[in-house]
Amino acid sequence: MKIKALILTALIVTLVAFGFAGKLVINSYNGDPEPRRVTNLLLEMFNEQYPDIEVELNIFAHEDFKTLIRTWLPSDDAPDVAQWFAGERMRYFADKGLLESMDDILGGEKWNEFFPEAFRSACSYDGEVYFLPESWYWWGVYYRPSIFAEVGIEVPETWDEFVAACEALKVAGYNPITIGTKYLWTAAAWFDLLNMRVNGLDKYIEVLDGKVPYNSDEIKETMEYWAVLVENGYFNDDASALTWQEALQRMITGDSAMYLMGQFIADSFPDDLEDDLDFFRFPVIKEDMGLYEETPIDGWMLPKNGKNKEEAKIWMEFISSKEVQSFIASELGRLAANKDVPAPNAHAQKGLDMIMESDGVIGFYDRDTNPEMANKGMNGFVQFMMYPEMLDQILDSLENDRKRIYE
Amino acid sequence: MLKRKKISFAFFFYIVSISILILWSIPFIITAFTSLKSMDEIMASQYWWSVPKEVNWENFYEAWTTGHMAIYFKNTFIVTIPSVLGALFLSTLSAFALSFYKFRFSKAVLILFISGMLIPFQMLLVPVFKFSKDIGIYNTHIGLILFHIAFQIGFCTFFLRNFMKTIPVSLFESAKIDGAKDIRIYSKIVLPLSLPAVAALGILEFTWIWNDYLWSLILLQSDNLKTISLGLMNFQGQYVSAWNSIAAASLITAAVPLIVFLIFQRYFIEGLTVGAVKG
Amino acid sequence: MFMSKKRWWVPWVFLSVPLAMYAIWVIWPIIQTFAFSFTEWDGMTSSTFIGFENYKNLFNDPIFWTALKNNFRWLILFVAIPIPVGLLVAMLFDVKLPGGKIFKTIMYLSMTLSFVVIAQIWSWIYDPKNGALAVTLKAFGFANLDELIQGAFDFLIFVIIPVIIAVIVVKIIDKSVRLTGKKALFAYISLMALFIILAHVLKIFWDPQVETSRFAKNGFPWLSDPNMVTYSLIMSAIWRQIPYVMVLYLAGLKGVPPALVEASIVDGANWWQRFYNVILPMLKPATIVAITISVIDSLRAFDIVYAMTRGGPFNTSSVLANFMYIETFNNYRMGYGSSIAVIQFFITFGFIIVYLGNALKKEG
Repeated sequence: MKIKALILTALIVTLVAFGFAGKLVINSYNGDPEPRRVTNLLLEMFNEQYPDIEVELNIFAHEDFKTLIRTWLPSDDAPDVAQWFAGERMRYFADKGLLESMDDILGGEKWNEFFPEAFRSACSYDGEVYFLPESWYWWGVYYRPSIFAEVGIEVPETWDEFVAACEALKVAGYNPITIGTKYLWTAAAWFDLLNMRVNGLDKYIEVLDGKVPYNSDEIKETMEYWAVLVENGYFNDDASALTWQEALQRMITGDSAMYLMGQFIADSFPDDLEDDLDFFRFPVIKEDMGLYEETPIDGWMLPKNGKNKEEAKIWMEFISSKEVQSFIASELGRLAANKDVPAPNAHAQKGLDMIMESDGVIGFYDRDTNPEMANKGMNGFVQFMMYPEMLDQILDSLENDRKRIYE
Repeated sequence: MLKRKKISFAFFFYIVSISILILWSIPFIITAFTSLKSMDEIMASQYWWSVPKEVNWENFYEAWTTGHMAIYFKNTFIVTIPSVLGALFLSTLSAFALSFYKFRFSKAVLILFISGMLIPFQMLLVPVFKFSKDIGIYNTHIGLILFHIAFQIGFCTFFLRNFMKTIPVSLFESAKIDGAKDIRIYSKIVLPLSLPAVAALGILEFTWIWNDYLWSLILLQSDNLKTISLGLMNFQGQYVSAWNSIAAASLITAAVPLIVFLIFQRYFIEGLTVGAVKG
Repeated sequence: MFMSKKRWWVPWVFLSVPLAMYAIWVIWPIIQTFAFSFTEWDGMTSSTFIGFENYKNLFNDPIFWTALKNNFRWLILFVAIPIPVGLLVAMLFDVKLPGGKIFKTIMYLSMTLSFVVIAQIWSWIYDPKNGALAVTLKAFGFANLDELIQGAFDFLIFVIIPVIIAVIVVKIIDKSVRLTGKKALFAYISLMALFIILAHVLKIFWDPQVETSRFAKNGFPWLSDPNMVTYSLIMSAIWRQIPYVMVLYLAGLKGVPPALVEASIVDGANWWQRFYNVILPMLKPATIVAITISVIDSLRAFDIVYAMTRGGPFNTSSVLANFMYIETFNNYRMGYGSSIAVIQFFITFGFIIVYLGNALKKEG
């Protein structure tokens, strides 16, 4: 009798111990249909490789995730792994002590085994690695080659060529550049790229860090170029009423010719028009300026308050491996962060080449600057696009915000 | 003469009613059209609201399966029904107390119930989240249910009190003479007479809680506990929104409150009128 | 009613559970919100007490004043339109002709759709070039929003006002020369026609134009014209609010004893008198609820604004709840957001107390 009880207890204890080996809770924002499918497949792969680890994968809508992350991180049982963006967005949390360093698995030279050196700073805080990059994509000026051919335009490389192309398109009855600024970030891309072409990468990083006044001459110079496009009516007038996707529709129906957008634009393009979509590098403004682009990086981070750090790190290693990164890249047509993974298709290869030939990159305006500053800044950009004559007021107001936020 | 008047009135009635309805249904019709199109067609059509060129009934099936709607439906029922019943029941109690008893704090309590409705509820998100975590009901259905009940009590009490006030106190006299206790008056007189109001309230509450989004978002984390409104948002990605799936899923989701409306509407029609001079 | 010294505890027994739950889940968080409004807090780490700093910043924040202005627009339109229209629709559909039930149901549909989908569909209806509204108006001959606004304004000044003047004139004439039946009809029509014609002659010399933004001249920028956007949002919300008020009044109408109405017919009351003197007073509880809720909802408006414009373009359609949400959850300023909520609370409280105080006083 006693022996039976002992065995039973031992059994229960073991079961309980394994049961409480903890469920690995992973929270993701891959709500888009394709990424969601792939993330679920990843889970299956992980389960095959590590059958002892019980995983709970929760997928949230993107906007919701951004709201919720701030309630999860400080709470007592935060998720063990959370998807997020590299750059300031991640550093914001690291700075508040809400993230766990991953230096033991990815720090120092270990980083270079997996990822390009160029990504390190975007994934680090205070010299330690806090972020695991999974995939990234580039931004470029996407256009309809058929429309260009019809109007007789060549792909512009310099600013003057670009403006001339816009004018030719406008004269021919097209809306040269489409944009949907309802959710603000599409306007930020113009700010980013124009700044990098006019002021260079280092100066722009200072802007993002809040060290440069928004009404300074450098920024005013950038805005002058933007004003040329706005005042000549090259953008669609109703941009603020449209989501980026609704603005894309204008390009699909052939009303608009160009769209400054990220690689994922191809996902929304109808299959039968796939061949009629291409992109070119954002035009050069100053001859002697380096070529800088933007490449937002998505990946994973480790909340400090998660309960299962060991299992979480196993997930991190799993994701950083070449096999998994190849899988993700080929399924989604994205560029893997892992440096050994080739581009999955011709479109991605072109983007990869463009970035490899560049002299430096940032993430994106609203990922690399303080979130509140980003919100105020982007609202300012939208206002500028609607009322370019109010530029000075807008910049002064943004400067007030910057002073308040950074000082 | 009377017949002519009746016919012309009926004519007028139908013309006006149907015009109003057509106007009101337009967004709904557009939703229906959207749910039947493919994303490619949506993106390529000039008009968002055009009649679908190809009818894709499988969108509904797709939305149901890829959207895991079966589980979300189950969860939403699990959350909504107890919440509505709980809120209605408790509010009849508090409304009863506030309608028929004169006591020092009655006006103050009523104002307290109303003040809860005055604040933007987003403001309650963080405190309620923290509280739910602290007492261990975070990420549970019961946590969400308790919250819904508590939160709706304010409005429901206010609503029901107003209706209960129209019940003539004279009806209680005969019961009191018979020595009825307060609880009997509540259950045998007031409650039955308040039925139209309770039914109306039930319909509104059901619709709100069924469609509730913010609180399910904040108080639930695990995917297998989520409610349908969250499930809908799953179709709205970071970059790409699957509008046809959202439309299809919304229609499926909207069917339930609609059916509830049809069922409980009866109580309006049968008109259990207050103030029946029962003598 | 039932009040004896011995049994003072009876109502409290009834109130115990509901009040307790309400206090824990609603009242206590509200008090906490008040406390947060005096701090600077990112919602995640520790907070610092800063006194009234948030409120000071709020009063200097232009977005706050824009939001406040917009909320008042919501308030006025949200009460003035859905309440009478909801009542009319309820009375209309309550008529005992076949089909009433289906009509009520179809109206109710607009409340059953989740706001995510409503926002998306209305955005499409509001599309500046190809939206349902834009296309319909173009078919009626309006090329853009500017023309529509000018047209509406002209209609108001040169048609509605002359009609009103005509009616007044007829009523004046009626005082001296008794006008009945066909004569009255003739008087109305001829005078209306006369005044409208006179007005249009006047228009040749004096044609006031409404000032509109340059966006209004390009298609129908319902959501991108800063002057128009709030009204467009309010219209979508009203579309949803009217069925809601309808349900409230349907319940209320059930409480109107038909005997009373019949008695008034016997007394010779015409339809207006029946409505105004018999039915309307019996609908008082429903009206009180409808008005209270419309006031509260207008000052609390969030989901339509957030889903359709996020308060844009550049905060011109912002309302207090939306402003608070973005500051709290986007910009991580929980303290600041709380102060916005507190202000909103007091404004709404003020209105409700005044209104309810009045309405409830008559109950005694």
